[in-house]
Amino acid sequence: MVVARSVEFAFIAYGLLLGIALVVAAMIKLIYWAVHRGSKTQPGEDKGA
Amino acid sequence: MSFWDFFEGLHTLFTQQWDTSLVRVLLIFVGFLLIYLGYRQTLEPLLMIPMGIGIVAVNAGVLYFEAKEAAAGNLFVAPLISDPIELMKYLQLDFLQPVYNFTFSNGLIACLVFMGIGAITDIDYLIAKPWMSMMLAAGAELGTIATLPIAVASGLTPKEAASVALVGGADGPVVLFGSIRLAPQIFVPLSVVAYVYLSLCYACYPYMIKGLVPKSKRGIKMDLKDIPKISPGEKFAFATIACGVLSLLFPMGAPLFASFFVGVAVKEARINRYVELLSGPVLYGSTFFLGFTLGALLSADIIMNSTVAKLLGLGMLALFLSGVGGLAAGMIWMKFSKKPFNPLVGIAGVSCVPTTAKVAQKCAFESNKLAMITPYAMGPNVAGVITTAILGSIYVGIVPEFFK
Repeated sequence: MVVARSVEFAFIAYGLLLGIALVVAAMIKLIYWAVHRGSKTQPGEDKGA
Repeated sequence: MSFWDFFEGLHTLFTQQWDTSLVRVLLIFVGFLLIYLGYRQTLEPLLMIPMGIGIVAVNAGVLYFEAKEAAAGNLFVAPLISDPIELMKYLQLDFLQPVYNFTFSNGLIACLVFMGIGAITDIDYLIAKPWMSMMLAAGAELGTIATLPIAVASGLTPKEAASVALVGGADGPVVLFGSIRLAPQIFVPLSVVAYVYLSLCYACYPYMIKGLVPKSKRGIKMDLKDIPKISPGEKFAFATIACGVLSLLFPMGAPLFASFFVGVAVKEARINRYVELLSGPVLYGSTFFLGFTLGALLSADIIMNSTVAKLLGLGMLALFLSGVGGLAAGMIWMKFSKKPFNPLVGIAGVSCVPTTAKVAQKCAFESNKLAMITPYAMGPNVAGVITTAILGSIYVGIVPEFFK
């Protein structure tokens, strides 16, 4: 019983992890897009003061 | 007064139960072995030398308190004290008791190590290749996930099983953090198992790689021009936003997230004095006391717990499965990648920073002298720290409720 429940938990935890991993990756892409939006600077270049 | 009263360490060795004495002698040898392997740099010397000296000293320096009929003990640390009056006595008696109670049992030492790791971690490659990094790191959590039901089937409670499964994340501070909250009764042997095994990753993973990945795939050359440069502003924004979002989602893991990302943030904000503080005195000071106190915690009575043998096997299984999961994720990514992709990058998702990335590079280099994969491998390597902290938070936050 408890073993079956732990298998169920493992699937839930992995699903949750994959979901959060995708959210973090999307967040990084969003930040990248926000920083470079409308900018003529190349990726990696600071706009400076 | 007899001759033996002058040499209580020896006296206790002959008057304790024979099995306890035998384990003490064995642990003294284990301590010497760790010191030797640390000195030879086969295992991580930063941890193994203080840990080995702690193990030797705590198992040699056993004495009787007050009367002969009283239980034997040591003057290092008593981890299982819960009564406040008793604890006050030990805080004044055992020299490492304050370190244990004020930095171990509240997770502070794990957080201090995380701050230091954050301050020395380069997140460029994670930001440059976020999908690849996060997916490979998630694949390399296979051991952390699969070991939990296996450990439950082997007879551990769900909380103990979750603690031992976290070894698969190959992140020492998360194992400390998780086990102290979920299963303090196995915290000591589990932490020692975790740290010794993490050192073994460097020695054992190359054989696993050679066994599972064909030589032609191990030597695939990757295009380094494909990696864009990332500005400090982007890295700083990611660190602060990720800290807020992850803490919002998993409050139980907020101390770990805050510690890691504050290290990254001060680095990217170029606050050099804080970076020097966190990457020097904080990181090395806490690593030293972590190793030394863990060694001093490993006395015979702790190791004679019947679950220790299970922890040894399950910890190894967790790290093995994580390595396999990382390589499998690397192979899958290679299949779908339009550009040449070396599957060894996947094993770097096992977040032993930067050990597994170095192992991946070493194995790639052995197959092809032109195969430079370290920059790609650092992405999943750093992402692995984040995914392990996420899983640690999920286990600490959800396991007690789920298995109520």
